[in-house]
Amino acid sequence: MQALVALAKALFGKLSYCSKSGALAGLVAGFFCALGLLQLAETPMSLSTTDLFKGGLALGLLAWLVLLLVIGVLLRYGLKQVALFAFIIAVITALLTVFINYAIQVPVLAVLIGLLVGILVGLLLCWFCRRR
Amino acid sequence: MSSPKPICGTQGAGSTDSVWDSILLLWGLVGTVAGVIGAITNAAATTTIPILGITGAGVGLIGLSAAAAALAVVFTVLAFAIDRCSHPDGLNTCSSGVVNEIVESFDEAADEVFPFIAMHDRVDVVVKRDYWHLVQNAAQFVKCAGDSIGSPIIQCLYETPAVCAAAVGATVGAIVGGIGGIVVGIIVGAAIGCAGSGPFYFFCLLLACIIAAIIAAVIALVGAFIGGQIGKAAADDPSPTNTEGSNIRLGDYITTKGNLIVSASFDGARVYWFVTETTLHGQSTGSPQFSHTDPDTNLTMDACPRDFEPPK
Repeated sequence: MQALVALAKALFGKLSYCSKSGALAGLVAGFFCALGLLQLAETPMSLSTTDLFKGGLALGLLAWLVLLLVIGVLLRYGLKQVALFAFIIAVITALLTVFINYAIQVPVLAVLIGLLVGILVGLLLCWFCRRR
Repeated sequence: MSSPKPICGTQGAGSTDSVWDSILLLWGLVGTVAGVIGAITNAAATTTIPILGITGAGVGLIGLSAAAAALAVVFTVLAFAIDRCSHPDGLNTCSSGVVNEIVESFDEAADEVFPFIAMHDRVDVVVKRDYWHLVQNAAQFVKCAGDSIGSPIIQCLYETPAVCAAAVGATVGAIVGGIGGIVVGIIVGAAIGCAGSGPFYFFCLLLACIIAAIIAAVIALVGAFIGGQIGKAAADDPSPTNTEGSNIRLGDYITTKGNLIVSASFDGARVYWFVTETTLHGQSTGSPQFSHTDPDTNLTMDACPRDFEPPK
């Protein structure tokens, strides 16, 4: 278990709070993208941009609720403190994760893609906020 | 000359929250493994889950979703349990000052609902300037009191058996609840009865997966709540005491000895995890928030051996 903790610290320890928030949102969105892609592999169909957008928004809301629970409550950052930031990062991350995964269509990579997208979105949002 | 006053707040290093790191790693593993299993077993096809006797298109996906959510909860609770029950190696040292704040375990409503997140009893001590080097060395964050000059504090954790017991109990509870949650999640998700083709079917099945995941996660959290409360009730929850056996109070001049670490749970600040001995020297006539000038002036002789003093 200590090795696992050390590995987690090595992988994510240097990330900012923004990137970790994005990563968490990306994991949630990426997981459901993986399920969706598995379904598309079984029953191929074409989804419109509007469908993808709606799906991304729904996953963004779900990811937002997860962020509120994990970061706001369990990690004690406070619901009020994280609500707006978590909403923005969750929705952007989920939308990008859905569109990128739909373009790539590899279910086993969907979670990893979500994670990377979330880290990058968090990184950019933090950079943008610091510049302001 | 003692060390210059440490600058309060972050020391320029990044985030260090190890529980969050563990959650990211474990959730990533769960999600990726679930995706691989789904691809190998062709979970989106018409599947039968023999134990439950449920057959249908996408039932495998619903099962994967529920199982992944329950596992995510179990691993999250486990990450907290590892953190709360750990005894990392640190610096065996000693410092003294005035008690500025006392935060007992299970002091917030969230600690009762999610017993695994409760923190050990904490006593915040505004330290004498002689010990500022302990606050600062290798720290990624320096905590300070709310006085006008921002006097550095060391947060002193007192091992509270109920905290670790609650976290372990919650882990067991989450596992038991998670198993039940997977079953209920699959039953409810399958009962939605998505059928047909096209985008409506796609989104219906995705919704069934999300509902199954939420149900499994909630039931696992309920299990964690029950297990955590049982664990907490079974263990002691004493208040922090000094060597004379009396409770530590605000304004007490104390010397603390123990294991000083850089704690991820406290923003990378140096904290005692845990205090092994507390010596009482008297009581300040002031009130929080204290300045370091109070113990500097009024606590000239503390119980730290000369070895612990910084070089003069």
